[in-house]
Amino acid sequence: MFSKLAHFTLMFALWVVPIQDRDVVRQSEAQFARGVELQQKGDLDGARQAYEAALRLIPQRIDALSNLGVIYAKLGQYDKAALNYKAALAIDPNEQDIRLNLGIAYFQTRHIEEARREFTQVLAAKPSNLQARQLLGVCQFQLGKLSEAIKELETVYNAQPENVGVAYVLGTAYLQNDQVEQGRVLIDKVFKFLPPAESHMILGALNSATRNHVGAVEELKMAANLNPKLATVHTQLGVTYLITGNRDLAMDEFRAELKNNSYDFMANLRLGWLLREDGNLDEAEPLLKRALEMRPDDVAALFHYAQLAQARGRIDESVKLLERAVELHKEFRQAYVLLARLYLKQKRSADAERLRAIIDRLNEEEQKRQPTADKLSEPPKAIDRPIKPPQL
Amino acid sequence: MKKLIRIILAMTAMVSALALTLPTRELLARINAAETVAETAAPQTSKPPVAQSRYLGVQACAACHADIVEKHQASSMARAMEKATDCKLLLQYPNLKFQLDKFTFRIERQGDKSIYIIGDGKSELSVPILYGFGQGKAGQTYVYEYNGEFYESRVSFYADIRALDLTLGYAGEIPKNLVEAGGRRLSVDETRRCFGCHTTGAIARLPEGTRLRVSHLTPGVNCESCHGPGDQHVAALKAGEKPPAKMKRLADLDGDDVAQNMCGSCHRSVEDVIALPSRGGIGNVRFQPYRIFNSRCYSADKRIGCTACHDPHSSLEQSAAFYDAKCLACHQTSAGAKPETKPVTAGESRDARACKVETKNCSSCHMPRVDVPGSHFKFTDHRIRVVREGAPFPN
Repeated sequence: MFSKLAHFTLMFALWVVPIQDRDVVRQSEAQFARGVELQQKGDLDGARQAYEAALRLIPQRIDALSNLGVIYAKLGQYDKAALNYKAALAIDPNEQDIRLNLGIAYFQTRHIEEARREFTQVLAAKPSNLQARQLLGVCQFQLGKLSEAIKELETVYNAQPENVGVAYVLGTAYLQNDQVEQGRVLIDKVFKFLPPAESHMILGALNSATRNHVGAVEELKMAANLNPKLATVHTQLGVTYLITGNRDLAMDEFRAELKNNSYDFMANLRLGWLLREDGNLDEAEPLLKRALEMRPDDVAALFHYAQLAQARGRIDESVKLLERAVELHKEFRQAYVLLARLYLKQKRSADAERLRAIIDRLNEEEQKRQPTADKLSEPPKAIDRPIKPPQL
Repeated sequence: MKKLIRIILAMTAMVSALALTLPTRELLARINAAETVAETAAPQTSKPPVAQSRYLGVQACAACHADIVEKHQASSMARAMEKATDCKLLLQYPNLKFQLDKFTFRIERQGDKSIYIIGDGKSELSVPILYGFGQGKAGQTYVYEYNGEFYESRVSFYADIRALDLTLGYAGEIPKNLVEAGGRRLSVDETRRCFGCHTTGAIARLPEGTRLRVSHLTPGVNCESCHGPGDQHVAALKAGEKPPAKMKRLADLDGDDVAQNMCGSCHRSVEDVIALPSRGGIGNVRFQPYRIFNSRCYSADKRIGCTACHDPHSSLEQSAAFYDAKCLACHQTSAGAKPETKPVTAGESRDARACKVETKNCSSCHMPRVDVPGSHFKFTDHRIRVVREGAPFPN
């Protein structure tokens, strides 16, 4: 479709433009053709220059904008790639191949929510696009929306049961979503493909799941030694250290993970959180900010960034974040508590009272769920001088 | 087992899988250029080293603030922890004993050391006590080192009974062996929290992060615990800088910041407590910032902050009458009186209702003292309220 459109546009341009401008069109076309040739030969920089020359002559060339985006993507400059894809889509919003690439550029720059939006649009136009569906599933997974991720990935897996990558992600999503049996089947399938470092990482996770945290640390350390760049191994080790009550080592591991991948959500969140607790707000802020950018609807990211904003005296910003957090998670008592405190600072007593009523209700509900609730609500044996209410 | 192993997948490991799974996209019909999505290791900005602040100790503060330091040294806060070598209670009670099932617990003074001895009738385990946590007004719990790790003693000294009893939280447990009988191993984080709150200068911010440094601590909560390390302030004074670098000024904090962020960092803020199962049950009466948050009159007003009633530089006032003026800073004195709008101090109005029963000893009714089982102590409930007879403890 794209080639037909581009061809038609060029023919139309040649037909309507005055003769002196036809040279411009021809020159632009020549530059574009040169760009394609160089790109096919692997000369990316030469191709980039040719496409840019073509665009200087005719800035509205979708084909040149799109190909330039691809060049930038291949050079790892995804921000520039996205700019070119967006310029092309501004000319023709129905070009779904370009939209897919824009989604991928967003994904690569960890703008997962934006990527999700683009893949969703691609699928709305072409529901049979399995590539877009797989990517959408992965985005949902990264955004922590497990049910939605499973739904998309199942569709892809049913169509491509040999796709090991999909099986791996879908299996992981199943396990996280407490669908253990389905997860087991898929993980069984991919386990044999894993190198030793990944195997140790899985053993570490097994030990964590069975609360053998000492064993988990050993396995994860082995995995990290075998492949220090193995994605998420340091984060998992860090989380295990936190569980065993060693935040110092946990922080070291989160830092190590971020050296490998500065966009690891959990490492950003946890390290930012710990640094904030230590009062190191300068270092905490960019980490928590990045975590929130990666998952704008993650209540933990919202809450911890709100705490940081509050510590820095940015009360209004903190209030907005917390309001969003409690909107997303209506039983998030700690967020209600902090929000109530901030309302009090803003002298919004009525709002604070409203939240305190919610907190009381949630506390009562929690109390009912506790097995020792009755015991806890018994009057204490010794309260000095309880008073009778005055006669009104 | 192998199958079991296989079912567990580290969730976040998916990122590496993505490198395999993300598509290679044939892009345009005009060319075969394709975008491959490969994982890129983004550069990580290195952390600028944080200069380690130095705690100078109370003597440095006393050089200029002698009166406050002297007053503070007699306070409970300054005695929140003592080294065993000069622990007053251990000196006063050189032989303490406690029996639990087959286990015998003894604390014996030997020279300048107090030895914690646990026996099961067949053998004994002896360890020197290093620190006594708590000033002893309610109780004191001991910390010792075993196999290179810190342990909290299973038994504590309680002032009310002048003897040892089980440390809070150990009731109903029968240990399996001598090591377990001795007490509970403290994780690195727990150790850090204990020392962080009961001492000064134990937690240092180093280039690699914050670290516990027991060798550098000063027992008790001293000036620099709340006001921050004094090195820059003192150095500026010595250099004749005018005005000198200031210490952290706490008087500017509002009541909520004082209660929750400042005092709550050790006495447990409302956010801390609300995350506990059942909010800690009746034991949460010990967590004053949480309790006061649940009072109807709680606000960000300075008159409800901890320091409105308690001078952190002085010993705790025990008389209920002392606190009346604090209540009456907001509450009127006569029932039915119209709200008094005349400010008590700048910007503050005394418009809270008057008590219909009494005009004095407010706290004795509205802040009842509550016995926490096993603590041998009655804690003042900081949830200010009208206490109904027979009403359950408001958790």
